[in-house]
Amino acid sequence: MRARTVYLAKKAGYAFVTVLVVIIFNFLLFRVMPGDPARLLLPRGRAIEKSVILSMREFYGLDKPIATQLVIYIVQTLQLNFGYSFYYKAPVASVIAASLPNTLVLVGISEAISILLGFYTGAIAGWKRGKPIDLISTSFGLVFWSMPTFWIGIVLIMTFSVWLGIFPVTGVRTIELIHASLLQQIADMGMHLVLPVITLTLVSYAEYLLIMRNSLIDVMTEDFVLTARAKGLTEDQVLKRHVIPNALLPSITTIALALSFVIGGALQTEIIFSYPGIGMLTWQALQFRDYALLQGLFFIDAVLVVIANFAADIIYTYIDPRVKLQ
Amino acid sequence: MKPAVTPIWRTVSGFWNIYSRVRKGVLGLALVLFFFAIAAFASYLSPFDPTKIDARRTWLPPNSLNWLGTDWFGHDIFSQMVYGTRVSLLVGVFATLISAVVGTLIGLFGGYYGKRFGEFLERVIDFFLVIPYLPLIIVLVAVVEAMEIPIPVLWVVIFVIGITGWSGTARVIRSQVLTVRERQFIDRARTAGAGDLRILTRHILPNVFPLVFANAVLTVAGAVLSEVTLDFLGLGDPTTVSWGMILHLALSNNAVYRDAWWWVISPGVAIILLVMGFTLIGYSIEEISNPRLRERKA
Amino acid sequence: MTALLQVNALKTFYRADGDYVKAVDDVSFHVDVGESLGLAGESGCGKTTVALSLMRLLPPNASILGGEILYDGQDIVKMSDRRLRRTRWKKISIVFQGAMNALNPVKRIVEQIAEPILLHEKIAKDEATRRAERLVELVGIDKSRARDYPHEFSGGMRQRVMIAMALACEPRLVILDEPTTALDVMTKMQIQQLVKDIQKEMSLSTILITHDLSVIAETCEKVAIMYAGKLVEHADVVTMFENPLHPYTSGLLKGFPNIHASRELPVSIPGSPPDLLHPPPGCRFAPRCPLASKECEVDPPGKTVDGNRYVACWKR
Repeated sequence: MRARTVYLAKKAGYAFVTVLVVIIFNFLLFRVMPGDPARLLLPRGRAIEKSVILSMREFYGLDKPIATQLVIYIVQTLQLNFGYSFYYKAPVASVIAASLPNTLVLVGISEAISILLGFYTGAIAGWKRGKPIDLISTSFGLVFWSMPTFWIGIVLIMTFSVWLGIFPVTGVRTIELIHASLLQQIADMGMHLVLPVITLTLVSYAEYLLIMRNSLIDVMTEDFVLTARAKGLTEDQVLKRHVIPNALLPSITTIALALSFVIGGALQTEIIFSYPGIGMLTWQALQFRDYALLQGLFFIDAVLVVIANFAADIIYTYIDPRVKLQ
Repeated sequence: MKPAVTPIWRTVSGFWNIYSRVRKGVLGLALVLFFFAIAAFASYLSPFDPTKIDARRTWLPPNSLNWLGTDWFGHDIFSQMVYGTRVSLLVGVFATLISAVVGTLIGLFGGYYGKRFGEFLERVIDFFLVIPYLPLIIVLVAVVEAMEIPIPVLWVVIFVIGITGWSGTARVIRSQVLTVRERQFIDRARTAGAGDLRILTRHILPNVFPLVFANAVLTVAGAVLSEVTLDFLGLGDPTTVSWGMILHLALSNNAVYRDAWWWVISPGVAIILLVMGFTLIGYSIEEISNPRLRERKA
Repeated sequence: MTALLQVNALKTFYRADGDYVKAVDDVSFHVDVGESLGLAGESGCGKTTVALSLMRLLPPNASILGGEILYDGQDIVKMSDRRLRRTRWKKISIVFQGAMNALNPVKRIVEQIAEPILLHEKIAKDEATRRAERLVELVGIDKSRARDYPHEFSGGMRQRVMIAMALACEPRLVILDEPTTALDVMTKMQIQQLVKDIQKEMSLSTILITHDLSVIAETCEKVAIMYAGKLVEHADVVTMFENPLHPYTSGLLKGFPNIHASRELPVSIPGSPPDLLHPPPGCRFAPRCPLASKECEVDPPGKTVDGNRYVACWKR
């Protein structure tokens, strides 16, 4: 028991260091741009009152030496104080906090479906390797993997929303329903989620299919699979009891890594569907060059992936007996 | 005396012997060569100047004059598609050159040097793997643009995609180097007095090379997708004609609501085919060089 | 008295490049009850393919194209899949090289040993687990380690686990494929002794596959030599070692340095084994045989000599 705690503490340490490096990266990014950093955080093309610029400088401690600035910045970020978004006229943290749940819902549902679908089809494809079902599944996966996420979204909108008129096009809920019953609201939100979820799922599932398929093929050639067959197990039993548990393990670490790309996919999806999540926020921050918001978003993105990876590490220590807890 | 059949030709035809057996590899190669040909002969293939505006022929679906239709300004989409091929290939290949070189070097050193330096590099690789890809690219391009450096946007894009895409390669190369390093012939080379550099270049690199190549090809696929996405988000060069730009303009001009399916479908299909092409080649090379992945045909 | 296992004219070929690799070509032998047979030959001679054929565990690109494998009177080659699964492990089991990944890395060894018991017999889980634990002790591993995972054991101990697992359903025939090849000398001896003891105690028939004749000399009663997919000689150990009949066997034996003999360099057989994709017509050893002559252009049939020996050579 204790060894596991030590191991996870070490992993947590690495995670924290990663987050720290991201913060430093954000910090440096700012200093690298020409002009007064304080001025950059404010809307361009407009005259800004001196007092506003001064309070910005004070907030970021821009009069102090660089090392102190860095420390201040790190402390502020860790306290979830990301500064002020001039576009939304609100603290960055609260702007992000308002949109984050939407993204989590979208990504959560999509990833759950992608993983289940991808692993299932990947396992079958690997097991029946070379046979038609493998070729078809893998080709499907390959085609979807080669599509830009935003393009899938566009095509879906054109087909289902514009042409067929089935699903709503944008947003996450219909404003008029704000007073409707909870059930109706959930159903409404569901309708808004269908196309974005399908978009995100299609791209991700292909990746999981390939991951699982390769993992399975690696395991299939191991000697213990032959031993299992020699014991008189049916092919189905061999697959379920011996092959899949061993193929699943490396796949889990790869899921966590894939998440750094899923964020990008979610970003594109939200933009296309005007879905009010942090991806949409990034798009707007980009358009209006709201750097404070952009930085905060980047930080949150990184933290999400770090957390996911750490969660995968934790899960892994429980399911793989070979993990050396030293 | 020059031999009648030079060694290079023999290697190439030997390689082709093996490669041609993998069906998907041949298909991938066909697709990629197809697009390279289009890019090379763009000026002969496109009936119109892609930047030519024709106010009388806007929003036209595919017709006898404009095989893929026209956009909101009257540009011929077919011509745009043809010239756009160049950008996709250019960015894909050059960005990958950067990624592949950086990734291989880091992977080599990270795997070969154990203990502190190697482990440090491992941490670096892990760090970059964790950083969310698209947000990073977006932030980098936005910042570089704000820096107002007089480099053409296209090269900024190439550079950014290049320096963010190396971590996958590095990780794969590193684990391969770790395996090769343990093999006996390395010890023998060392006992014979070979220095680190010599071992790396003469012994480890040749063993790792097929993997480097396979990975590089797959990286091109990813780079093309990244480039298209950046263009679409408006971070690319607005003056160049590229597939991503076509889609960007399509969306900005409400092609979706105006049901201008031709404006949206063509770039998408081209992207899919090009990316698939590179991916198939990459997987074929991987399959050939890794005996375990080879199919045992029943 | 009918043998426990009777193999007649077994042909197992691998498909490659549109042609066949004749890995096992017309091989016949038998194993009696309680007998330990050593199956020897150099790498690639087909001995492992024979082992896999006996349990029909061949990879997808190989198949049995002829012959019969009679176990207890039933032909394994023609058995239905259902019956085959019931025969596997219960009647014949196999021990692979345990040093490699022959054990499932994520299951405790006691579970892996109990698995076939639960599969083939209708008993409760506790009972199966208890039997598995007894088997663990039988092979010389402390019972407290039964719930450990394979990676926590050394190569030699993993081999013991494999042996314990092979005995789980009390089969009458156990095949051991290179059980000690990857082990150090001390562990080799221990495992060999273990196999001998168990074989006597449980009246097991064993087929020990190896390229190392000395192992066979120490542990087996009978020995069969394979070369290039053919069975060339089959006799009891003492007779064969003292008086080998087939030129290949003599060649093999001459290759072993002898401490007691006069100082001579061991002689290796010149040449190399034939390509099994296109084996030579006639005797496959003829190209390297010092006794070869015109009649060796036809494949020699095996014949019984001195009542109990089998040899496939025109010269005997």
